Amino acid sequence: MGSLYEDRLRQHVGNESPKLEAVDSVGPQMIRHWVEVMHDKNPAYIDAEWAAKSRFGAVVAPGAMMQVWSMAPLWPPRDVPDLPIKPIDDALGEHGYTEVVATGQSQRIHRLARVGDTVSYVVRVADVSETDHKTRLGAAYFVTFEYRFTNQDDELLGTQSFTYMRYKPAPADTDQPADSDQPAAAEV
Amino acid sequence: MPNDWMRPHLNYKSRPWTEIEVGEELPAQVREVDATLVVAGALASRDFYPVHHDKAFAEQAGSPDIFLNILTSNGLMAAYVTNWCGPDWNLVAIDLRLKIPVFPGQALIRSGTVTGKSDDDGGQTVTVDFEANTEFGPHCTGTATISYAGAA
Repeated sequence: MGSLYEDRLRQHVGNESPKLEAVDSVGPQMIRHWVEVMHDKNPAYIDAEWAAKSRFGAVVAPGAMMQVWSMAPLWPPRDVPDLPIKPIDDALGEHGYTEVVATGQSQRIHRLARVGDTVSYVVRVADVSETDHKTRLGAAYFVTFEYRFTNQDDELLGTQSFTYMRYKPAPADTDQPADSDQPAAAEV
Repeated sequence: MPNDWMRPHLNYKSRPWTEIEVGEELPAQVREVDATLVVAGALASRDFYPVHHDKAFAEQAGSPDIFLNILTSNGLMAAYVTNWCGPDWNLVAIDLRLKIPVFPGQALIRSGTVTGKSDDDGGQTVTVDFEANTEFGPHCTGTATISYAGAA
């Protein structure tokens, strides 16, 4: 893989999507679904009476859910502009880096979304690794992008960075050592 | 109100900032991972990638079974920390690094240690380093920062 190819990948760093609005407003059903899975005991998400008297003034959604409101619909496909991640994914896919696993994420929570809020987001390419890395799963590039979530009043709800690796699956009989400074690989 | 039945299961009490010491260990908590948790977590986070609900697809992708998605792992660790400190705290930051995937049939053992405490212009905050382990090794490690907001 030549450096020219890698330079081209890194050209996309800093590219940003237009602002995209979530399909649904923040609703109590999705919040409770989340709480049931996580066994989250915070009354701010569930107990309307408690929440009304709290610093929030109303039921709020867990900050860890910030990305959930923006996830793509299962059907029908939503007509949104190509996200800035796409040219990187396409280029890596064409060069054999066909598989994806998430390796980490970071959230900075500024304000909890209230029931009824409409969440919008902008997503930006934050980083692409300079070269490929050897991992347990195969040669991989690490891509990081960053979301910025706002409400209908353009108040910042939070930011979330997300890193995944795109890898060329290693043959099953090859035991490739993982980079000591990189995650062994995990999940999407 | 319709959620009355949940009240006995919610946590209305909070740890006071003054009582928390650097070095304090959070009580470990085990969460049994089954296919229901993997699938319910994927749906709660609207992540329809088949490796989180379709075993045949996961096997074709080289995985022994369906596995937890990152948003569920993050949500489980966030709830672990905030269930410990209580509702008078705000979770302001959480960083998660994934290690090995976790599959149905495995237990996720969550633990954490208070690694920082400060009281300044940024308010009263506490930092917790956490991890979740399986019998096969670490699933994830990370850091959460919580900020004391005062009694509700």
